[in-house]
Amino acid sequence: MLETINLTKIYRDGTIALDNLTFIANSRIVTLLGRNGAGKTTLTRILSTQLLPTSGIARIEGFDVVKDAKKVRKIIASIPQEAKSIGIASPMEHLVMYLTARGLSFKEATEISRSALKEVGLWEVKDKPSDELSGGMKRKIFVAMALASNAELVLLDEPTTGLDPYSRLEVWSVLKSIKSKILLTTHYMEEAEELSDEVILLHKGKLIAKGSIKELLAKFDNKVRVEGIGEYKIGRLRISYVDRNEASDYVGKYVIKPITLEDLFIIYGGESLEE
Amino acid sequence: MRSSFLLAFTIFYGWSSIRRGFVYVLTYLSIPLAELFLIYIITRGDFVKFAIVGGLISVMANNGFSLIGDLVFLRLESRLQDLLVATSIGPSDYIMGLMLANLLYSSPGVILYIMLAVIYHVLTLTNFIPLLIDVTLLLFSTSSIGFFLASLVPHTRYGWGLAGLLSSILTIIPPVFYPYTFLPKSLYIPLLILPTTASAIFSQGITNLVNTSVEMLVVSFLVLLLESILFFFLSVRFSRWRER
Repeated sequence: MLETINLTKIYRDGTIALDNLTFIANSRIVTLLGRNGAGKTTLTRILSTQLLPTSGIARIEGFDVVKDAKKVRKIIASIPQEAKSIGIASPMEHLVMYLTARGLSFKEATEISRSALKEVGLWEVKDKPSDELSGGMKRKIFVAMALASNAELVLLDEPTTGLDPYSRLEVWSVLKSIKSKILLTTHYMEEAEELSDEVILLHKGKLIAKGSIKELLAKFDNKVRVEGIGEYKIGRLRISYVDRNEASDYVGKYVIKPITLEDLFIIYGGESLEE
Repeated sequence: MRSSFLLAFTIFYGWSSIRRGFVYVLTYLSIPLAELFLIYIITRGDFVKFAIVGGLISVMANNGFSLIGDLVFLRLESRLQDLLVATSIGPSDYIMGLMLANLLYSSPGVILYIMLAVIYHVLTLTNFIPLLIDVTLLLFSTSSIGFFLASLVPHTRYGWGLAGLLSSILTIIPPVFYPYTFLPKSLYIPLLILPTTASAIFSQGITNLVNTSVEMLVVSFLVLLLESILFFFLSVRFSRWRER
């Protein structure tokens, strides 16, 4: 279970990354959604015990991430945003190093790494230096780490950024097969829709919505999206949300679409989308 | 210390470099070898023994200081430090892992200098162990300094520059490649603060390159030992592992 109580992070330059954030999440795959600067990575780093909060409490399975950091580290695996492989080291060397850091013996780490590399499709290149691998393969090294960790909670910060659609599907299938709970950060709506049991929408460090996608969309069940007119301005695109029974007024003049997770992002993100 | 992690990290970062990036290993060797060559030419071979001992000290000190570049890169670019902070290991395991990886990586240079030292009768059965302890302590103290400084570096672009600068200053100015007796006596104590000076005085004394009193040998060794413990403690205690 993930829990935060009035969690706040203010960086030295005065930036408020998290602003009294309070929530409880207990689903298998929880997704953090939000624009750049929403506070997703800051929250992930605090929960991963990599960064100290300014104030407030964050707990994982009841353990405080500040006071019980050592206990938290035993039950989590965290793959940072923009984690990059070391060019001279092979996927196998990456995994064994990571698993021994998690407390496994060298022999155990080697055995588990073998099966994880097979599962993510890196077995054939397990001994190649990673700078000879494609971008997707390099990213999969970290997915293999998450898979091999067997942690109670895996925190993945944008794990599929930069991957082609095929590789992304591969990663999704691995994530679905992992038994661990997952806290996922992503920009991709389709990824959130595909994987999430619960979504937490953040905006400027604050919680703006939380629930399953079905629950969140249900609030807008009677609405449709009209493109070309409206109060929401994204670049040159104008969007409005109207009742279904009024949609006929717009047919032929504007593009009408059903409400998706992306629209929740726009609605809850509010006026800031005009920035 | 987690021996499994140290072994795995040494393979991950050190052995992989030797296997797949041998040109880096040659780069590591090039500056001390160039200095050895220059000293040989300029002094017509008279100071070659100092250059050999100095080369060994220089390789070890460079190892420690070059950690700054590695650590900054691993923290800010590859995010390896973030990955490892959220595991069971602590900063001391990480420093040791990197130190061992770099030692393995520079082992061709160390072996070369040991061979030269044997050929030129600098290294004997009696001074081998004290000299080994001396350069190990030097590696330990410079690695700790490197780790501490690296944790304060805010941008990757400063990392390698600072490493190169410290390496050059702390292996050229102190009496690493020349007899420490060239220094005015009043500078002995102030310069002993630098681990390279303490290491060089002890090495030159124990190999009989300079006639050194027992007191000087003991003082230089104790200073190096204390510095190693102090710098290691300071780096683990005060460097940034978990960010604030």
